[in-house]
Amino acid sequence: MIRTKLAAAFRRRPIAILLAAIAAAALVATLFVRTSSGKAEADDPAVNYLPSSAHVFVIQLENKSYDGTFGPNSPAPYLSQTLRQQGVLLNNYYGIGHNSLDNYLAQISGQGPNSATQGDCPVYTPFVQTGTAMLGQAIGAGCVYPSNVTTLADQLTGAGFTWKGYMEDMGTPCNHPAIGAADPTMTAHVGYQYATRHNPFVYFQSITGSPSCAANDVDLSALKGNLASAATTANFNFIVPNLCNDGHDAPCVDGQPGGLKSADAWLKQWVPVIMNSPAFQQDGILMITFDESDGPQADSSACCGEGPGPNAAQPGLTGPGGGRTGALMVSPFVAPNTWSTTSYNHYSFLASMEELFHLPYLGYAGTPGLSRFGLDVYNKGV
Amino acid sequence: MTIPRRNFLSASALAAVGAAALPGAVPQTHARSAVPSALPNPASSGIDHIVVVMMENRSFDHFLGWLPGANGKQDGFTFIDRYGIPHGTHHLSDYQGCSHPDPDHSYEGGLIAFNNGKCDGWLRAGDNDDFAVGYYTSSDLAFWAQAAPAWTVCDNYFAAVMAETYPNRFYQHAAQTDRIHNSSVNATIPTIWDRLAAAGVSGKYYYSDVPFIALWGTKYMPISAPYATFLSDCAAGTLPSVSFVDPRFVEEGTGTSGDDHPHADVRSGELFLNEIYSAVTKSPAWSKTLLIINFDEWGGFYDHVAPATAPDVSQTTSRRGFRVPAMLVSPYARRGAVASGLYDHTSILKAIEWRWNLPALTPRDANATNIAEVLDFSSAPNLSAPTFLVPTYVAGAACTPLPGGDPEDEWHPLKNRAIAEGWKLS
Repeated sequence: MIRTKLAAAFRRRPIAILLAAIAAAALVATLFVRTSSGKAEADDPAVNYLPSSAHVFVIQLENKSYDGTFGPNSPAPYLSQTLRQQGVLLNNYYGIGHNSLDNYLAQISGQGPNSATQGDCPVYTPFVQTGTAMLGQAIGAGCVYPSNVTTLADQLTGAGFTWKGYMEDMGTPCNHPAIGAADPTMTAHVGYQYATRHNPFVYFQSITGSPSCAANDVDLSALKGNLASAATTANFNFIVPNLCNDGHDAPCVDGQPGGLKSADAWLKQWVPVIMNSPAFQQDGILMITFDESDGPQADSSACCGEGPGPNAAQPGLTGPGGGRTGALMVSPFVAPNTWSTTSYNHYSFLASMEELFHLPYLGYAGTPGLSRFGLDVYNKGV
Repeated sequence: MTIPRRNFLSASALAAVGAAALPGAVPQTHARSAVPSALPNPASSGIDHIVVVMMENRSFDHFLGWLPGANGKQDGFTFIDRYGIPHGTHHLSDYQGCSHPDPDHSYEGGLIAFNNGKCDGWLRAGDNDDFAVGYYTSSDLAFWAQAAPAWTVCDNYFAAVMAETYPNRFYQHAAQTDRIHNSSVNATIPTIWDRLAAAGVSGKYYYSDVPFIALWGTKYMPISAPYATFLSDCAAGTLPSVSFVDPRFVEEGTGTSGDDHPHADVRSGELFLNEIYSAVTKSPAWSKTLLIINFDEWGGFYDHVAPATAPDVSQTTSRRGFRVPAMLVSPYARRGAVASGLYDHTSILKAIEWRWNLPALTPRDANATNIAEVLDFSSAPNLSAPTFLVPTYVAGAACTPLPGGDPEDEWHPLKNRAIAEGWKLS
């Protein structure tokens, strides 16, 4: 199985990155033993369901339940009608917790919530780890994970792929408070509506302790230039609008309406930029996701076997999960105006990205029986 | 009657195979021509009682695909799952399927299975596993093994709408649905019960544990009665003109519900149907009764016939769901017959409206083909009705709830609502 993955890596990548691939394969071997309970082996014969995509774009929006976003009375007609008709709507996609931050961290690391991340980390505390539980879960509490807790970004880099986080209004790359300091971005400011808690990359010392953070976790303004050619477009792009344009605030500090209305206007501006890019048209996947439902009082349901974690008996504060949000994917590998009704959450998302790039599962992405995007999502040819 | 009809098949061939499949099945010996007679004057048709029993969640191929002479297919299909792995259709080895997810039978999941008419997406919908492409045979279904070869089975009968339970049950009562997913919000759409009442025709809704009709609040409480009353009304010969009978919907997980919805034990449904069959055929009203047994929808189980669209109040609900088993039992029913006209739940409404001269509810039932056309009004009514032996069974252990909740969860909010509004439920 390892050999198969390596062979695939050899076929697809230049010699210059083979050493990295081999190093990653060594990591693969270790992690499979530790986290995947034989799952990857079992699925390996069928990897041909995966598209040959090399460019993923994720736009993460905030705090909206499925029915409001994609229902008939949605205040986001571009997203729920125009764009929806071009892609596959995953109508059983769930957040993994409440409030925001634990969802973002789950998406790139497979780590479950703890009390600090559930509270969105108003103080940028270190995560103090006291042990490791099943499925690679760091035991402890706090915000910034130690460098032994790795992420999809680290995996991609290790395997010779590139990644970028595009954060609207962030300004300085890798912008985050000092350890132990209060986070000044908990509320929006006119002209500066960046939120650290919506930028998952700065909560892992494996990233913040490396030059990779400043190089890859950058302001949204860099996106357009990087989209100019497929060669300058990263393999994995995680795009976060500001607190107004991601639908979080309503009304916004600058007087804009916010909510789904502003999110829809932002999508209408940016999605065509992405979809017209050479990388997207060549082999792109664009996903529009939401971190969590309207909130813990509205919907804390879970899917996909999510249960209590070592650091949070109730990942969704009032329930087991982050509620049903839905997610939309548009891609040359996706048939227009179709559905996927399979149950997915942010851990499934991580597992799906890892499969796409032939990486091992991190954290809860390795949950036995967890569904990953298959021909239900990459449904162009079915 | 614009829909072409074909092959009311030879009863002797069917009965022979039916008898082979289950020793003890009583073969009917007279054959029928393929062309039914025209419908008579409804008031003098001889049908004074129509009884509709709607079960849950089984497709035609999955449940009756073994029926000789019918357009059913069981062994030999291969379907690709979401990970590109092929799975063959296969004989299910237990009566409940506790370890499997309830196959997706939502509007959206139905469209995935439908796949623009290819009918091959069964294993890419929902969290489906190969349970969705499994089937039962006559050896598993003691009632159907005896009844299907003996009476008239429709093999081109579809769920009314590509959607789950409540939308299809709404179609059975109202020829439309006001929702595409199950929910317990109040319904106000007009029903066949309103039409019957306006015409002074008697109708009664018999419920087992949860009254579906409580979705209209207490409006139809006066015409509703518990299932035990159905049995006593049959015995006393006091059936109303129109009866709908619903099975037990809850307790699927323990296998003791009677509705055939996974994870119900299908042997429980067989006993329930045989009890109804026996009550109707032994009733003093039998000579003037038409009993129709159908299923609300396909339950996510595979079927190889693509459903088409029909005239409807809404484009969203215009596509029918996949085929479900449907059977007609009556002194006027052909014995050992397969009727292949195009029918759905509203074809039954059409028969009721025909019999009692009622106006249609929506474009759907207005344009439906009257299912009474499969009956034989040109011959003398045949009052004989074989008695079927359906053995009792010992239920296994209750299913362990799967992640995502039990399939029967859809009924609890309605049950709670009904109780709060004063329904007396057992």
